[in-house]
Amino acid sequence: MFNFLRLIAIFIIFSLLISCANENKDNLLLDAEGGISDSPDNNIDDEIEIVDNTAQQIEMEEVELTVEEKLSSELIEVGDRVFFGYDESTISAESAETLNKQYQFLSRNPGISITVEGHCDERGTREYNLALGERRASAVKNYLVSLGVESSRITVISYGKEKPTVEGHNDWAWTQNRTAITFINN
Amino acid sequence: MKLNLIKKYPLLLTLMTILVFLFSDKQSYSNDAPLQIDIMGGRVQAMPIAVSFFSVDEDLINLKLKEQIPNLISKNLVDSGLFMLLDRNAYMQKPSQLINIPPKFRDWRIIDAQALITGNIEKKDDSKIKVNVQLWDVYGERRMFGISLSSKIKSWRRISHIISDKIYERLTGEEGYFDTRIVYVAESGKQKNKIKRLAIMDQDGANHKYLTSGKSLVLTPRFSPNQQKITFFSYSGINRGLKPSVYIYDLLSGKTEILGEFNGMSFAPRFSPDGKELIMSLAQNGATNIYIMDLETKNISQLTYGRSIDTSPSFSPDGKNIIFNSDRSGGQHLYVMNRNGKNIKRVSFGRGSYATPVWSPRGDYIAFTKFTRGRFFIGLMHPDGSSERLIAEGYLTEGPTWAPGGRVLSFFRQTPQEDGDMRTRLFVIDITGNRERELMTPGDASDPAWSPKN
Repeated sequence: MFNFLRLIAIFIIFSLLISCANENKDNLLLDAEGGISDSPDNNIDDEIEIVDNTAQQIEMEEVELTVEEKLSSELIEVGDRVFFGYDESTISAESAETLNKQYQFLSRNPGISITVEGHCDERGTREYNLALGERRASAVKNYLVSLGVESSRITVISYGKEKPTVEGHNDWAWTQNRTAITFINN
Repeated sequence: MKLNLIKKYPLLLTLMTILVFLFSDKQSYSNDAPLQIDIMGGRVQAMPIAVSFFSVDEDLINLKLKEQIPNLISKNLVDSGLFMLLDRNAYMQKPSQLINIPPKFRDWRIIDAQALITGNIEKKDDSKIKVNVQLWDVYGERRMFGISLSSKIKSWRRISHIISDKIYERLTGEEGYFDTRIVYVAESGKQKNKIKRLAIMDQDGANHKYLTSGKSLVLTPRFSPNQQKITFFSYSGINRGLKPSVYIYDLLSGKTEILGEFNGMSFAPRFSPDGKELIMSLAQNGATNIYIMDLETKNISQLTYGRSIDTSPSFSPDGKNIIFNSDRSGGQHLYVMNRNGKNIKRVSFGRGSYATPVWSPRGDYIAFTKFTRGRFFIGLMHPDGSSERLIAEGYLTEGPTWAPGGRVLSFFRQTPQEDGDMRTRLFVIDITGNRERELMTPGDASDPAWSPKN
């Protein structure tokens, strides 16, 4: 039963990926079928029914995921990242919930090791943020170790503010970028 | 190879015979006030100067030099903000009337030139020239000095920079900074995955070249005091299992070496004033402390202890003290300690976060980054924390670096653009906070580090 659910989960992720990849194509179809054109008298407030024709394509593109891909999708399902307050590295209750699931995931898959990447928003200096990113990644590591994960399975790396996970220069982007993300090592 | 020029620098240095004739006018004119501007005393009015085009040997291949060299000298002096170039159309004496004889001082007083620079270029052979330059005190009616430089024609920019330094030093009494270079991080690509490469250029933006390919992320380059080495932070070893670390790049050999493999991430490197040691941060298990490494023995000692983030260390010019940035009190503040880690004293007490302190080469100021009320500033304070003032601001301004002489700094600034992107550029400003100007780079640029004198 669980495996079946997991298959469905992977299926959903995959269909999302493919629908993303086909975004442009879909827009083109919309143009043709939905009748959107640049004609000036076109009322853009019209409701347009979007015909989802992606399902059909997915059936045609069944691809086997590698073991690593399956594990990575599972980790993403479990929750691969936690977030922090400004200039903070404390594990919130919400983060703890995510990390508990990461711990269960790591227990189910004893053969894998992980890297935790610490990130910061852009509102700090480069050098301080490198240190802060390390502090965040270490906070995640220490939490997982406290649950029982062997310390040797976890590597930490800080990217400071150098590799934000989302683009933008606003509160939303900064919230997203104050994060520690777990990756499975190859 | 792009690095050939750099490799040849020491050769050029030896090839370049510099003859400086300093005429001690002080004895014979001891009653006159010397022509000098006090530049450290706050706002100064730009001194009006005349820089005549040079006269040249007619068979010189590159005749344009008669204008290029004086133009570059003028540009350097004017960019310093301390000098104002008088319009050449108003000069009454032609370059040819100024060879080997004193100028008609009266003709230069009419246009109110305080100082006059004249010169001529001699052809030594097809590839070498000799440049003779005189600096005249127009109102004192005397020659302040003469300088004569011989070098390859293609080194004309360096010749001009060295002459500019000599003139600047004679007229201000302070160390010049024109014969210098700037290393920085050249940025390109999208915000999420920026390509960052080390690049180096002359202080005026000329002779720009890239030092790294951009394959790995590099940050925070800083010169060694002999300006032949650059220490920086890089992720280049992470695919080989190495931590992001401090590296040293040798400009002469073009080789890069990792400074050591530690349990944590090493970063925020700076050389000691004698170049024999290096201070940096090591982040380990959530704590970041400051360490010092003997570059010869590679012995490393820990200077700060605890769970806080201690980073961005910078030596005082006498090598006795270190200023750094720490969040040990909660917020980020600046602290000074002895070079052995003893006597840690907090020196910043204002509102906001203080970071990246850099000790001025004169020892009298600390330049720093400050973040308060959603804006970033570049500020100055004395090493004891007194007389804090902010000289530049922006959406993000960061990373001050001092030019030799300690009167001028560079820093970088990110400015949001209408399309949502950021423009990141280098700027130059002086300690009065006036005369800010952009330092032209081919693209986005951050983390400037000014070299010592070449």
